[in-house]
Amino acid sequence: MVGLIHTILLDMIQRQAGADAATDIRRMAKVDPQIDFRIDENYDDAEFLRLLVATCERLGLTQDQAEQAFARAFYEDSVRRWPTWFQLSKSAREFLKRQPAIHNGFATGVSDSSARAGIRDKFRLEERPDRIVVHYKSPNRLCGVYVALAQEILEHYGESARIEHPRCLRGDDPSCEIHVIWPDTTGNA
Amino acid sequence: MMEQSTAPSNEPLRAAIEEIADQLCMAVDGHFDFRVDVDVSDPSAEKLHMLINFVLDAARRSIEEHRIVNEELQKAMSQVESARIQAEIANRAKSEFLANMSHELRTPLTAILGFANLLRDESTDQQRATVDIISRNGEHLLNVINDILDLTKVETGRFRMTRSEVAPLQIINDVIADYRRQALEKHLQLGSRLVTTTPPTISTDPVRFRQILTNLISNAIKFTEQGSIDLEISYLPPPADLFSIDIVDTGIGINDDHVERLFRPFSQVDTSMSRSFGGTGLGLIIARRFAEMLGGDVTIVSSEPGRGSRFRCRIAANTDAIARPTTSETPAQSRGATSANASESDADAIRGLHILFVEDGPDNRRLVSHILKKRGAGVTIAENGQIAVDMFERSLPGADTFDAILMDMQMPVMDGYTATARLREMNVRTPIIALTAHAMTGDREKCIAAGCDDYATKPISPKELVRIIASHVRKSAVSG
Repeated sequence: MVGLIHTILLDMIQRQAGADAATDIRRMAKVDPQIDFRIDENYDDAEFLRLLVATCERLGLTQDQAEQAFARAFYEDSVRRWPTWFQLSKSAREFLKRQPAIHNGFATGVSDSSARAGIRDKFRLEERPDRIVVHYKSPNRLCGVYVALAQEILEHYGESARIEHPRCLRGDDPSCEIHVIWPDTTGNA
Repeated sequence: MMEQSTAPSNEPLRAAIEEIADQLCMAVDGHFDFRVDVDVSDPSAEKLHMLINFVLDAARRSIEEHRIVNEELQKAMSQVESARIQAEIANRAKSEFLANMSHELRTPLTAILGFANLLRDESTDQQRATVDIISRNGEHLLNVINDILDLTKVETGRFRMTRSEVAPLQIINDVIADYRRQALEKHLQLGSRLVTTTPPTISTDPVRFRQILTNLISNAIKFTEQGSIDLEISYLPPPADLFSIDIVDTGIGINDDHVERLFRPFSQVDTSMSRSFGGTGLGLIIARRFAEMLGGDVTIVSSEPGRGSRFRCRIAANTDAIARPTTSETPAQSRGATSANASESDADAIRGLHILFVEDGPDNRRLVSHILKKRGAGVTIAENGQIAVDMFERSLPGADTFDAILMDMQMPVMDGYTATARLREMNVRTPIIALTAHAMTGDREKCIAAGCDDYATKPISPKELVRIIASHVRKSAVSG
């Protein structure tokens, strides 16, 4: 997992709960208090998951709440940091179709080939006339973040769509299946 | 029925290009840490993929190089700034040191030169020769101090030129007169001639112009053992508008190789010269810097070892400010009151004056009192500023009869600046003349700001002191 994810989470905690909370959460998650995560470097996935759990404990949030807050922060950061993707995509559907490529793009900064492959293989997209179906497979089981991010993207483009999550890693399924369904067959809001 | 196309689908190529474009967006947004990494089987797409990564790699390297250069530049700028601050601190310390050194050296010199003058009047011929040695060496030391101070002031940009309308030929004449005796002692002829007509007046700083000439003529006398020193005076009309003096000597001359060294501080042509001829080697460079500040230059036109040298001094005449006809008078023929005449009349002018002399140093008290009393003035002594202020505050007998106050500026208990300011607050209108061993730029302004009317530096020249007192007492009498 690239350090961009850790950076956004820690910045969000510091902004919303203060520097002391961020320090506490680093300590609780057994993360080096001095480490400065680089956005283009790969870090241990488990480290981020520990940070997320510690965030829930320290701030009294459920996992869903923590993932939604993180997704909001991630979206806000992305709009500032990567504006071109938003400009190139004329609708939420276009953006979400682009998302696996975007995700893979982050892997290109990682020099280790197996780590790079680990990042690349998490998302597969299936297009249907009324929806897109995202197949997500990762030991991190962060499907909740994807769902929350998809909501942010829909809001960004002023669209409404229904999100269904019939198969989930957090159950017994081997992968998640997330459907984003638009009310008409063109896929536009 | 339409024939079904057998051409391979473009879909994988299109998808690959789309993905390349998506990943390229990261670079578009300024993030060059990422590369393009897309699975492509089409050779054209693969080529495009590879080329894009070449471009991204090159851009990344270039950005990194710029970052390193920028960091080094910032570091260098920071070092330069730090060095500049250090240099400023060092320069301030140097200026303070020079001011203090000036004070410390000039104060005892005042006593040495002053008392040597007194001794001369009361000595036998044999004793007078000894006294002359003391005076000559004291004067030499004083010149060295003045040269160092002048150069320091010029180098630190703290020298201000004060231009006024002056008669250049009269100044040249005066300087020649000052050096005629020295030239005669070495059996040298010292003279001048006009090469062209010259304006009767020019606009320049008379003190610095005089100093340039003094340095050049004394330099020529120093390095000439036989023959002559001639001043060739000319004027280059507008647009040049330059007043020019060539100083031509029949002295030791200089090799071409050594000419540039002449104008470097503390550099005589070779070190043995300073032992043979004395001096700091500052005279020429000070002359050149002053000439530059007066819109001209000092150059060496020609020189030949064993035959002599021709130095040229040019300064801006600024005649546009003074529309006057030119003259063909030689310096010797130029008219006007000489400084000697002025001094004589000033000597008479202080006869009968009552002067308050505020000074803590017993040697200076004795010396200046002697100078003033010898010229017929009455002198009252106050040993520091507080005593002087008390005299006026308590209306002590005689306090209202002083025609002038000579005020040393550095004294214990109450210094001259404070005392002067207090006297002015008390509405004392008597002319106050500051005496100070300081000779740095700004001293005069500091004294005037405190309320002094004028300023004289130690060592005290009797003639100059008398002239200053007389001029202010006259002014005071005129203004009522």
